[in-house]
Amino acid sequence: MRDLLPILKSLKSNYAAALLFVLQVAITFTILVNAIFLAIEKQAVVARESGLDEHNVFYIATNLPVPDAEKKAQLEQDLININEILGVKSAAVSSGIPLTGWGRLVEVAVNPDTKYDTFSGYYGGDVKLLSSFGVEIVAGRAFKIDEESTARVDGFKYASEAIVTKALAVSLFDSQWQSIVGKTIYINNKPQRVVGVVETLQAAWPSWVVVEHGVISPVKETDDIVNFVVRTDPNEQQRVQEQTLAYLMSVYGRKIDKVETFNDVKRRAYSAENAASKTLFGVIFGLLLVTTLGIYGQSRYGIIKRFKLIGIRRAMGASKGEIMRYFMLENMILTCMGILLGIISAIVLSIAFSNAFELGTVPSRYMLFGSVGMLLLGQIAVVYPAFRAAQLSPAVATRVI
Amino acid sequence: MFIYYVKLACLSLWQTRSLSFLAILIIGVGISATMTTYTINYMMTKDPLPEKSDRVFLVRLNNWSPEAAYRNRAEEQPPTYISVQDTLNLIAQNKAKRHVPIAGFKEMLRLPDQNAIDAEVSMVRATSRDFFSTFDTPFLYGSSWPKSSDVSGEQVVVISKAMNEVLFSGENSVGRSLILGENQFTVVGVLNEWFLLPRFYGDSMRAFQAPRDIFVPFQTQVNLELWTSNLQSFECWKEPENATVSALWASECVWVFFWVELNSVDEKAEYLDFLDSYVKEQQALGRFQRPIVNQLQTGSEYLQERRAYSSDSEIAVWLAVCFLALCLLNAMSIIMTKFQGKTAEVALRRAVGASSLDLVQQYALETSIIGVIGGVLGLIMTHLCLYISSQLYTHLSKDIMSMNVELMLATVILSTVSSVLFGLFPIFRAIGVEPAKQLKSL
Repeated sequence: MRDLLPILKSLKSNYAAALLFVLQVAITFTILVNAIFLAIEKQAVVARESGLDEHNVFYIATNLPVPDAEKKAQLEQDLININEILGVKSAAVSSGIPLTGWGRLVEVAVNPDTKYDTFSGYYGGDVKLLSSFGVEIVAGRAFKIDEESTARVDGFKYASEAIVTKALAVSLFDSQWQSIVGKTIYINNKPQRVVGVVETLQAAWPSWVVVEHGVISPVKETDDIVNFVVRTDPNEQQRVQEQTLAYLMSVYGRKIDKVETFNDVKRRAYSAENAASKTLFGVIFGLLLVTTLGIYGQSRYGIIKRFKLIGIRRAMGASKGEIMRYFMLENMILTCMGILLGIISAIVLSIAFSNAFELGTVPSRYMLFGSVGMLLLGQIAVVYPAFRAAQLSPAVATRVI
Repeated sequence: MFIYYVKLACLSLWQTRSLSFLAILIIGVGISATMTTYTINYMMTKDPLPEKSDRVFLVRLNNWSPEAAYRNRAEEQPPTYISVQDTLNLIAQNKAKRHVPIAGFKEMLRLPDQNAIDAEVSMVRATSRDFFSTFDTPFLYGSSWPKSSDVSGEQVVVISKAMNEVLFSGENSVGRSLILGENQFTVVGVLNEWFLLPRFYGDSMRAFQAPRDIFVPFQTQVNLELWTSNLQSFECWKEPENATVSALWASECVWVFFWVELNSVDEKAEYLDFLDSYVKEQQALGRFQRPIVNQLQTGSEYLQERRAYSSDSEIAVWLAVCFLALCLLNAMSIIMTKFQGKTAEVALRRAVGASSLDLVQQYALETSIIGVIGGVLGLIMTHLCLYISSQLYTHLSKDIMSMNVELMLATVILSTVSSVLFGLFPIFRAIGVEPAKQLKSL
């Protein structure tokens, strides 16, 4: 620690280089903390549970190529046949698929006279829909077979029972969310009795504010396009998908509108977030590279300039360790000054971002980890130049100008 | 003298080539990061129709249930789309310069000599001939369909250049036929390369994706009753009479985006008056039982309301600017190192009579050469980064990832100016030596 005073004095005499160093550390810190925060936020969005058995679910959007009056029978026949395919755990028909960007929303109210309390995504299907999605019931029960009905479109207008997601139940009843089971809620002004609550089932739009809100009705729809949701045994997806398509195409007039595994749906839904977080990680990498090179170059230059001084100190009896310690301490002092400045500007930038773009501000633990990271980075960059400096023989050093 | 300075600068750059190269590389990296993010942001937010974006409007009519406002908003706002009957009425009344309905459907597309099994599901845009003039689409072959096709709903089609490549291997296909579902259409025009960014006229979620490849008259979609229920959003406050498509056409279901181009901004009030009188007429017929709230919205107002602009690209620009500042500081310290080795030279030149201005000029020239080379390197790297981005950002149209000439010039200028500015400090420090003291120490 007795090196402290000489270091500070030498900084004063060479303030320009020191100032540059401090500024570089400060800017690096500012970008680093904000970029890591944004990247992790994006990752958190992508990592959200959809509620489905994601790896084992695929869906096929197709038509029912029969006259309107026969559609219900055709749909039921299709469901029986698809469920019989080997490797199918459960298959159902659904009015929509989570995260596809196309679906329906409903207004939900607790009291009949209020306009609405919140919005929610909507799925209608047969009793097997819950098990085909692979969602988990956390309160109440699943639909019974005698509750199932059929409509052409907008099944929520005809349903009398509903299952809701936990997030929706919590938004209506807070901590008493379990009490929603057995209560009547109003879906687009139609009273429906809640029979169960599922843990998670996301709506069709990943960036929607209430994406976690969901209402499920036991009403199959026989509109132009129906979605068959198929959940398979692990590793059977590819084969089951081919077999299901082969079966569907055996019906004359069938048009396949879309076939997609849920993994692909999710990848597509979050392609913007994934790309953005990859870019941010790229920025972070480039940043660290440039800064490390910068610190390394500057330390090396600073040390070369002081060969003579190092030689004198070595000749006066300073050990190699002391020389190394001197330069590492110098680096640490400068880095700390940079970090202090950086914390201020990182907070300023974070507040500016949160005001301009509706983002959260960077939590303080990021500052802490960022500081530790920057200190380590600085030390790593200076180790080699300092080591080289310590290796100087006193005799050679004194001969240099 | 100038050429002599350039020669000196090049010599000096060569003498310190590793340091110079490092400075150029670092400036190049910073510039390319900034320009890549700036290009993407610029392309995403630029005005797609610079000449007329202020007189092309989305028509919004307050067609909703008498019982509740649309989406129950506190401040009543009309839906963004209108019903088929209103679209046809407004076109028939013909009060604007141009009328562009934006509708569409999905159908199986094939050539007459192909089997049904080879048909592929294709998205078709149903619109009017005004679409092509309002959005200034370039034609490779043929032209848009005539007015009569819009009126009677003829089975004609305009296809994109890419679609023409696929179907007709790029030949002039005007007059040839293709089959959509069960209907035969005749090609009347082939578009040249065309994109509109942001593509504001349709679903805001797809504003940064490429336009569709097939265009047919809206009236044709109406006549042939072509409807796809899972393609565009549609909302009904009242159920259609029955499940048929004709009932849907006659219903109050809203789903057609309807754009008008006016002759000038001044006509906006006039057209709004017309819309009010139209709604009043319809009210007399028992429709539109809500307060009259009609709106004319420009493309960017519409996209802003729908939150189509992602803030990600703007944040990226700011981060990249910080990154550039960092790179410049880094380059500055390298340049400082470079010039520190020159103290003897500076002292000598000062001693033999060079003014400090001469020296500043000479060294500024040297840093600006670094800046120019850094800028060119940055430009090359920007193109590389844009290519990588176009692979990474699959949800955005590839057309976003391209630079125009102004942006390329801006890149090199930005690099040069910022290098000179950040180089000034090292220069002033370098020429600040006292000649006598320096010369003595030699």
